[in-house]
Amino acid sequence: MKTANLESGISPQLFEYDSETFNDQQIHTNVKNILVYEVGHRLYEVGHRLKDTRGQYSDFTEVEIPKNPFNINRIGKNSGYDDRNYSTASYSWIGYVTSINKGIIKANLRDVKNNSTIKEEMEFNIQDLDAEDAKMVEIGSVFYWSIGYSFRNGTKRKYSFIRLKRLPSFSDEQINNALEWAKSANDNLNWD
Amino acid sequence: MDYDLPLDHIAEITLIGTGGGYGESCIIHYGLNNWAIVDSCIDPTTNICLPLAYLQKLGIDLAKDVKFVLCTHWHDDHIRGLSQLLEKCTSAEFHFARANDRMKFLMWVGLDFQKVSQDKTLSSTKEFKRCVDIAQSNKIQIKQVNADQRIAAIQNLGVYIYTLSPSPATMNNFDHEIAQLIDNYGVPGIKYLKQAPNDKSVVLFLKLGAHVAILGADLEVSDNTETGWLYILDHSTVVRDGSVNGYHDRIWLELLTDSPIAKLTPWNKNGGLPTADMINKYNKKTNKLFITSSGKERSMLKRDKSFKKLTEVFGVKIKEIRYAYGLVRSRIDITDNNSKWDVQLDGESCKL
Repeated sequence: MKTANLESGISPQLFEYDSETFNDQQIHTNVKNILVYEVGHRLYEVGHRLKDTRGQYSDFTEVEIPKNPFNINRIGKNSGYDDRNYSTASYSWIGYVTSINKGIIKANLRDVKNNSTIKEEMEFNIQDLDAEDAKMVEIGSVFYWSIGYSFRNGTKRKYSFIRLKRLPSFSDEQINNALEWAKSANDNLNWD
Repeated sequence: MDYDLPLDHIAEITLIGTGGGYGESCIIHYGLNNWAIVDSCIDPTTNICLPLAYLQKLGIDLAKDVKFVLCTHWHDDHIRGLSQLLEKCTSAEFHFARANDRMKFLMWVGLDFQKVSQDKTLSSTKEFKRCVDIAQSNKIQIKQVNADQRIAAIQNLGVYIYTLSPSPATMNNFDHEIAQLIDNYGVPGIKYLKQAPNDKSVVLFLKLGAHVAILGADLEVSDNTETGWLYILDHSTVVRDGSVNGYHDRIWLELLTDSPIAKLTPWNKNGGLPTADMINKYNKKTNKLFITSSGKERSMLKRDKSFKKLTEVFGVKIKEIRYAYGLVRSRIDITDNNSKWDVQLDGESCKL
């Protein structure tokens, strides 16, 4: 863990975040716990951990710091943080499913870690999804995929993590925004 | 290839392709320095709008000479960079397929935009909404088009541009489809994907003096004779020979003369298009078949050594969707009935 990046004397703290307010951190939308440090009134992410198929949390994944501040709810101090057990995401993508055939999922991807505009195409087995995601997946499903290395008690392991994007239904505000825009375009454009 | 301006009586149809996956665009000169741009695509490595770059290379006055920008259908591979075109081509009209229930259509665009606005993924909805916003702020004339409309003409040259689709039945179906899309794809975690067959695209018929061309725009053949190519084949009486980028036997038999010029762009996602079987079919119909780039084996994007190992361990197959710029330009003398198309190639384009 790059705790060396933290300013001297600052201890990371464990928080829980509200996924709705976390859209700018695309690859972490489903993160349940997040490790942050605080400077003044700003909070910066150090790492996060993910829930696995058995409902257990993974080790912390290291992320670059600082990140933009976000709205989170504090759940404890220093709990669960272990500098011998962590993960590093070497590559991260956002993608969407283009076909599902006999358990093989094809998807289009974009490398979000490198902010690439080059498209990639991926093929993976539906069994690579956790049970909950496998039930939900359909053509058009948006997902996040990261691969990298995890470290557990000094042992390095490779990991791959695919997680479907989950967001709540449209809010009243979003529906109103869409309606307002549609009315404005309908009324103000020079239609033939 | 020379990037020279065509003379007033020389028509030009230029197809730009990107290797599949990043789009295609067609540029038309229909005489007397009147230009039109049909669809748009970008270079994904630079985000440069390719039809814009081509016209700038020719030295066109974009603000004055481009008369209309037409979006045949707003799939990802036809719309990238369209907003850049509308920003520069300030006197051009913006044409796209008609939605009978305009307010419902706009509501769908607005909702889909709410869904994708936070995403870093590229989205045709974002691009289309940007176009509508530019049209609103720059007071651009919007023209919703459907089958059998004349959208441009230079009568003293005998030049006419008509739309051949979408059909009335397609537009009715689209109204119902929008309502379903709002229900089915209004879920924020689901991206709207194009439906097959594509029968909503705007096909153009160009009459350039004695010469004609058809721009197929991915229109497909469905089982329904009231939609897609079958509607055009059964209802249109104006089309004869030219270029086409779709395949149906009847199109070649009934609409085209022997061995017309045919231009294709590849599609390199999934199985890839055109297939060898399709190319064989085309080659039996014409010996003037061009493609903006030939299909090359796709490979994994270059990353450090650990990447390949990681994907192997997890059994994931991942391939780059390769960008390959290609341009096929054809010009013909509108005033000479015996004139032949002069075809020029640039980039990775080739004759098949």
